[in-house]
Amino acid sequence: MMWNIAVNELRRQLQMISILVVTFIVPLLLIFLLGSSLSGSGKFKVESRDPEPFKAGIVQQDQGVLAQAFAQFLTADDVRQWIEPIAYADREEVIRLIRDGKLGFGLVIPSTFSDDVLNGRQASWEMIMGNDYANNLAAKSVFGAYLDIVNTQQALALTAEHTGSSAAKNGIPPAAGTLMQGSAGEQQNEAAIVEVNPMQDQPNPTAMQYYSVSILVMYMLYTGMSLAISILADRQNYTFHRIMAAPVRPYSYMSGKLIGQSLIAVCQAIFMIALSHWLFGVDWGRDIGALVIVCLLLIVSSMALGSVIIAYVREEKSIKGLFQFLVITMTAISGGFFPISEVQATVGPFTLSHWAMQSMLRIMMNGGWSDTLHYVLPLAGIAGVLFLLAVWSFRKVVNYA
Amino acid sequence: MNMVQIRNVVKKYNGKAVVDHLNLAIEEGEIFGLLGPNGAGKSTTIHMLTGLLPISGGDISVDGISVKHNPLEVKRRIGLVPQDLAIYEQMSARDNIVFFAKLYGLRGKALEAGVDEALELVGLSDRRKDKPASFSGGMKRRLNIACAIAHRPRLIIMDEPTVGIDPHSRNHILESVKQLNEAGSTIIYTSHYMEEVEAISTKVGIMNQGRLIACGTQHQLKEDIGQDDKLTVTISLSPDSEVDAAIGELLEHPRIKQASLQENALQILLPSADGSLQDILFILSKHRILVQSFEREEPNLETLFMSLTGRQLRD
Repeated sequence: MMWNIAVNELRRQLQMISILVVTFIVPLLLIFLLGSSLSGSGKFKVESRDPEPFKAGIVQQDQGVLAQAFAQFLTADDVRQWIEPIAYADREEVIRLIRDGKLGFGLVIPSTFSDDVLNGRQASWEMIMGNDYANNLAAKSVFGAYLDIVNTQQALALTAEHTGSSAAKNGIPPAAGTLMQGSAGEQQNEAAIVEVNPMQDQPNPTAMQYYSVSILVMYMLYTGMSLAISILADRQNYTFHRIMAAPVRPYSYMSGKLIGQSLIAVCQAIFMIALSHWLFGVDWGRDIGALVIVCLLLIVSSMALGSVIIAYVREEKSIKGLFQFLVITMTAISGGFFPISEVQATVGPFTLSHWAMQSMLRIMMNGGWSDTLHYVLPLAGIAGVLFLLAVWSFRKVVNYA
Repeated sequence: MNMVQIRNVVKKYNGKAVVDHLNLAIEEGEIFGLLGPNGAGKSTTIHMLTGLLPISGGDISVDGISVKHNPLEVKRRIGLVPQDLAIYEQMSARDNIVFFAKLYGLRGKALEAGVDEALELVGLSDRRKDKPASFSGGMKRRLNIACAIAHRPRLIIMDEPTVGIDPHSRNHILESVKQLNEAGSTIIYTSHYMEEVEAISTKVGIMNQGRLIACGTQHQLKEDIGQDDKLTVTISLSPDSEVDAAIGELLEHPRIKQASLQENALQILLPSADGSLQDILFILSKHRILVQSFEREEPNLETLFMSLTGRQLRD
């Protein structure tokens, strides 16, 4: 009886095109959209890739002594490995080409650059960021390296001036140290951006990995809603009446429903994990067993939540509204839509999504069992409590009267 | 042998008895018409019989098995056709029947044969692959029946199976009921359509306020209880106060048992209309009510029901 009900549940759900799309296609689209659009937000690890030189537009307005040195710097192999410099006369043209995606980065060196450096004034140049976060990082590092060289030489010149060496005779004034300080500070600031860890003491996944986890957790939680709506539909179309009039024990009916919906959730998890790996290259870590355990705990929690809700809520709109509120709130608080360290650290632990997401992220990062267990155990505890609540509410769910 | 034996059954909700010490026996092979106005306790009795509701007192046995002590065995012997359509719209007609038949343990060839027979009986063999969403109301009703009979139950309970359908489907269903009965199933049939019950029932029970107030063959009931004539007097539009006063005076007449107004027709029940027509006309003319026509009906289930319960079946 139980398996007959389970198979029927599975068949009915999988026969509906709209449910197939919402269950299997939409989550993958969400992973792709969130993962690709937020990968350059600075909150996630940038995926390592082989360096490919990108075009950088250089507007060299400086005709001073440093211009020649800069031109020579650009011919170095270490620079060419990253950047293919192209000279432009007009800053606006560079901006336009960057906007069109034809240039990856832009650098505008003002006409007063050498003069400012040599006279000890605050010197600056303009970096125009391109569309690619990684290319921007590479360009800032490369051009930052040039400033480091200039500053080092200035430092040497300053030292030589005090000791009366030839560098002092070349006319590099002591005040040029300002550039060194300024540029060094700028480098630190840029470096600080690069080094910011969006999850602080947490694992550092790529955006695709992060959103694969958050969307998987969110959709696993929604399977509880499917269970509640399916039971409600049985009541509303009177098939529950007919099933209960057949020689079917109430727990067989409930078990059949739970198994059917859980099988759909398992199929969904396998589909999302496999497809996100093949299509988006998401690395789910080496410990597939641990991943399965977390998914099962999540499914148990979700089903239990659905059972408790259908015991007390008898309208589809209310069930959907309640689930939407719970799932979206938990996902947001646990950083599922966007990582917010403070909220995640303070309110996050009160949500189911937090423990599920952190467990999966640690499995992804191959964090080791002791670290992962720290997050899996609370998840198992929540699943256990919800399961007991569902058992307690069981009579109310299958009460025909 | 009794297929159904209801002994002193009580069902209470919040201390109020909805079924009050009900006793009823239905013999094997009967088509038992169960009648009663809304709230009489018919559905509650059926739900207790099918194990859907617990019994507050007494016991019910089906085929000699107690519903209280062995509900699953009882359920195996019953096919319930609920009053409301209980089918999955997104599954084909055949898949619906297969699913419900499997709940009764049917597998393999027995399942195939049972499903084919059920489809054949309700005339849906050629639509087996279609989904009920494309069916007419009558076809859905027939599928509703097919889902209850594929496992060849010994007792089939049909709770108003012809509500809201076309005459063709109604005739088909009534024919199907007779065929099922001829094939050996005992049938309990409830309906608001008195003519259906008259047409197919071998025995009739009338419930009112949780009790069985009459039971027997139609002939027995008419002989024993139903001696009343039903007189329908069609009247012209008259002031309500005059009509009410006339009805009040009619009810004071020693021979008149019931008098009520249905639209512009006075329904009057009396043992024999012969000796009272003058009196009735006198009372109506006294209240300045113009009579358009008279119609006298021989005793039937409708008049019997009205006589016993004081209400129309569809009230």
